[in-house]
Amino acid sequence: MPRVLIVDDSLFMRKILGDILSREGAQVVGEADNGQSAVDKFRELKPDVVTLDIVMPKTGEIGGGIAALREIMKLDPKARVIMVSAMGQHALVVEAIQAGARDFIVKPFQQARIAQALKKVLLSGG
Amino acid sequence: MKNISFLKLDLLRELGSIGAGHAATSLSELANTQVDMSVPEIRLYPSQRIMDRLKDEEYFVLRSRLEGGISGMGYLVLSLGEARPLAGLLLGADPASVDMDGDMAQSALKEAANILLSSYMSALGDLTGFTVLADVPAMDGPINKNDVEKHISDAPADDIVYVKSNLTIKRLGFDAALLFVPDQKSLRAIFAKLGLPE
Repeated sequence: MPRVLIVDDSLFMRKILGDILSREGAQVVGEADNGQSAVDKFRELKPDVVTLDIVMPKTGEIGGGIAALREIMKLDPKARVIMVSAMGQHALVVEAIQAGARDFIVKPFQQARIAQALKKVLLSGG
Repeated sequence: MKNISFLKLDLLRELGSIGAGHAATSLSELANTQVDMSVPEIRLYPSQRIMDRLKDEEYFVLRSRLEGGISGMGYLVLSLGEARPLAGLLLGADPASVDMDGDMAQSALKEAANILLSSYMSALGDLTGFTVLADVPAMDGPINKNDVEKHISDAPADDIVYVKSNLTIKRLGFDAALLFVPDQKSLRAIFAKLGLPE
């Protein structure tokens, strides 16, 4: 059962994504609502997969999703990170993929697309 | 922007129609129900009112700063009577049981605004070639209906253009206003990009 860390500033989206991931057989081992907390939880929990919201308000030392992604990749260059974006954030998604994200999913979520992304990143090695 | 031509008004209405169409599709996917949209209206504030026909209720105003090739503001305005069934639908709960002051309901409404405005801006970006990003929404409310106008307006020296569309979910009696407010510089850039320079 893959262990997943969900990072999103929206409580609602963390719940929706957590429900979908659980239905897909994943175990949600932690949640974070900002970039700094995401890095701290990643270090502590060592999840198999991280879902990381691209746009989050800046709190603490680390700003939004891409800054958190860069920190996570420094901690573990083989980290499996799926970026979460809303429509229209193509440029940020490209930047995230270049920074090491394995895949991305777009809000509003579709369960089949999340399952596909989860399968893809787990098969891509770690 | 006082002498905005008919052609430019028509272009803005078309942009609003395409943006709101994308937003309606996203809301429909999010809420798993049919969402309809109105023909967009252009309001020049302060010579025209932005909102009219407000119900005698309290309102929520969700606002997001727009950044990138087009800058300005985006708003989702909905009454408490519209917010409650939407939150209930999104949370899978009986609307009457939803605590509208609770973190989960407020988070659901903010995320709905985020998805709607991002979809709207994505469509505008595709059409104009500009990258447009909607920042994380902030939420005001519940506020008195008489205060809604001042929550969605600054004190401009010149007219500010509001592109206003309504999204409706008939079975819920839901009728929320979605507002696109480009700043003057962005408005000129949009017109120039789409072949209608000064």
